[in-house]
Amino acid sequence: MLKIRSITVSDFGPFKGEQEIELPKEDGVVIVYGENMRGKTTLLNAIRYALFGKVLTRGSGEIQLHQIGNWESAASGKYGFHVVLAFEQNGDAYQLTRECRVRPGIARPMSDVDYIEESFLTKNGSAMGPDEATLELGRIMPETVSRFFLFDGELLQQYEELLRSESDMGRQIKDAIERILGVPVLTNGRADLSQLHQLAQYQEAKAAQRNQKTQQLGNLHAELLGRREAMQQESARLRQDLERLKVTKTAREEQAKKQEQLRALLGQRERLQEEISTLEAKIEEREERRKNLLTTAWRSILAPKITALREQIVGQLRDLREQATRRLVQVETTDAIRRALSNGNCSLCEQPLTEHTKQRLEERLVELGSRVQDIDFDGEIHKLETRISHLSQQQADNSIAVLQEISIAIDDFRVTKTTTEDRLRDLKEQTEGLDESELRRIYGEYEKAVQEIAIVEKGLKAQDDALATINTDIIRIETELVKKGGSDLQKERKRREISEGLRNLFDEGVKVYRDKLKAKVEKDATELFLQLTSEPDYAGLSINNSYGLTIVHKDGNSIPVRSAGAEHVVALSLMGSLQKNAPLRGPIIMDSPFGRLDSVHTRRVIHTLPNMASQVLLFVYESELEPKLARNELKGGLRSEYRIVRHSARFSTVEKAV
Amino acid sequence: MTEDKKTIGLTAENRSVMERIMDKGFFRDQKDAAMFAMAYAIRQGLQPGNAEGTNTIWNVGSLDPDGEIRILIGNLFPETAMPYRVVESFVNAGLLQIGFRMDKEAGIEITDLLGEAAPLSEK
Repeated sequence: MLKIRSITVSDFGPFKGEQEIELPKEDGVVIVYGENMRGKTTLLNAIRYALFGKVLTRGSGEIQLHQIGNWESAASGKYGFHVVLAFEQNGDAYQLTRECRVRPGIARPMSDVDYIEESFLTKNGSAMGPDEATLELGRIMPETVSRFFLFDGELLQQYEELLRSESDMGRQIKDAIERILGVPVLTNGRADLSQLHQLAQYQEAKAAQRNQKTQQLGNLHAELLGRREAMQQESARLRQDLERLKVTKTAREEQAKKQEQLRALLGQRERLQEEISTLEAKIEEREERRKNLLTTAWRSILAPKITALREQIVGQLRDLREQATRRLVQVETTDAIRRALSNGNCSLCEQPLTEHTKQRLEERLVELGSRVQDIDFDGEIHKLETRISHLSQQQADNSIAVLQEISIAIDDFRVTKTTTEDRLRDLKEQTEGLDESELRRIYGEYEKAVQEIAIVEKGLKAQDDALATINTDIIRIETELVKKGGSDLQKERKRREISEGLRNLFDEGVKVYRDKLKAKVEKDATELFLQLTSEPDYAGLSINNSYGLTIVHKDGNSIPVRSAGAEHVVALSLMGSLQKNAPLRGPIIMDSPFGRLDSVHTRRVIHTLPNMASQVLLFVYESELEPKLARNELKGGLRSEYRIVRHSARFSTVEKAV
Repeated sequence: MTEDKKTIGLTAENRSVMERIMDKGFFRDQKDAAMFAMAYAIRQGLQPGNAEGTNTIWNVGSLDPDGEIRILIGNLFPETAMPYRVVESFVNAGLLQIGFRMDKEAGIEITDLLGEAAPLSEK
């Protein structure tokens, strides 16, 4: 059983300088706490890098080595990184070092080609040769099954693919499951026996060719066997092609899924750009209107003053007209008095004026004469009327309110534009480096793989049909040979029959082993599931041919649709069950395994973890798994706690929690 | 000073204010901004004066092609015999005031100036 003893990283991702996590010898759980972006996934990647030389993104894409070294160290001129993984396997102590350093002569590395990567493995203190080390590592931890030991909680939903028989991803996971469960031991045996059987058939044909009686049949037998072998080789080639194409298709599918997200972001980016253009057009249009209004704004500004002045002049005009009327009356009265005094009679009643009246009229005449002013009423009235007319013409519509409204609208549009530009800037950062031609290339390659798969599958079917026909012919020839052949063929026939029987036995064995494995995986996964789920109405899990697990209700019906949390719990149950049934045992190392779980399920998973593997290493953030909860649930099973401490955005350290 | 002005000019200081106003992009051209400044000064209650040290910018014919401003100034300030001299003084006084406002508040908007020139309560 593989057990990790320590992980040492140096200048790897945010871990500047050398950082070490020691794992105790005793079985149990070690937890590394770290908030987002502090380096949890980097630690998982460090283990993956040490074992397989690969660093993966969440989308399972590989990260360039050049991007892995610590940024602060690089900024100070120190490039490269290394990881040391110390582990034990069946009593032997191993130390695996993988190092990435700058190629001599390169002052400032720009890409992966500027680095040299080296790895070496020691066993019980002695260095192993490179080939020996590769073989040893492949035996201890084959990369093909690493997904069951090193896994990202966020990617557990991939196991849902096992429920879709047509899914290539599901098929790949199924193959990996069979590998970890040891099925290849039998399938490889079956393949070897098929080879032996075919060899025996050739030997039988050769023996028949040597005998004159059976020579013709022997020749035909040998020819059919030769044709079949060629067809089998072609079939194998086609299967290899199919495998390669399916891997390509799955990879492109995965990339496309990832790109879909980016494409959505790109769409959003375009929409925001359009929004900004629309806002700019609106701002421009409003600004143009405002400029137009501002051309005559001075009139509007002065409008109240003009109005007031006009009203004032209208008042003056009214007064002046009254004065003019009074003056007219005054003149007429003066004229009438003068006429009366001259005639000696009243100008109205024609009666003679008394002396007393004459005296009064003269006094009145003096009084009126003193009031008469020499004013050009007509001229003054005309002047005022002209001013009023001018001022009336200058009375503009009050456009100030409209101007204010337009200015407020421009401000609003500008605020919206700034907000939209901020959002666009964020989106641009997210979509930086996104190449649309890359997207087209991925879809193109995906389409091409799908088309080629269809062609190869059609070819394979034709090949299989032809193989079935030729096998029937071979059997017919072999039956003829049994009839016509003498004792000289008996030995070869026996060899053929034994090898065929053994091959059939292994064939049957594979089926029986698979059925038994599935039953065991289903049973153990059900046990784990019932410990993990909080739903009392669930009776267990049912397994399909691809090791996909369906939840079964206690009424016997399957639960067709399940939540993300349920998917997570089922996937963890499968993981635990595979660990239990695999000939290859090792630690479970999980990154963010509780993100989709509620507190009840988190508690249950924590409680069950020690039953899933003897060594469990968790990378979690505190709100995902509270330290208090972990301590209460695991009690003595919790062996160590570490914390990733932030020093800067590009510098974290791993410190043992006290 | 027996004749009215044939041209309207700005002082050096007000040329700079004018440039700052134009940089804000509110007005189509300097003539519009000048008329705005004149109205701003009149609404601020400033009295006609005499702008000293100006450099010609506009002919009165281009600033006031139909004589509307001359008549308006004549009406608003009937005692003046030289309305374009009054116009020049108000344009410069208005720009000076706006310049002070812009010094106090760099991000000043046209709405602020409009608000000061013609408070909404009056409209």
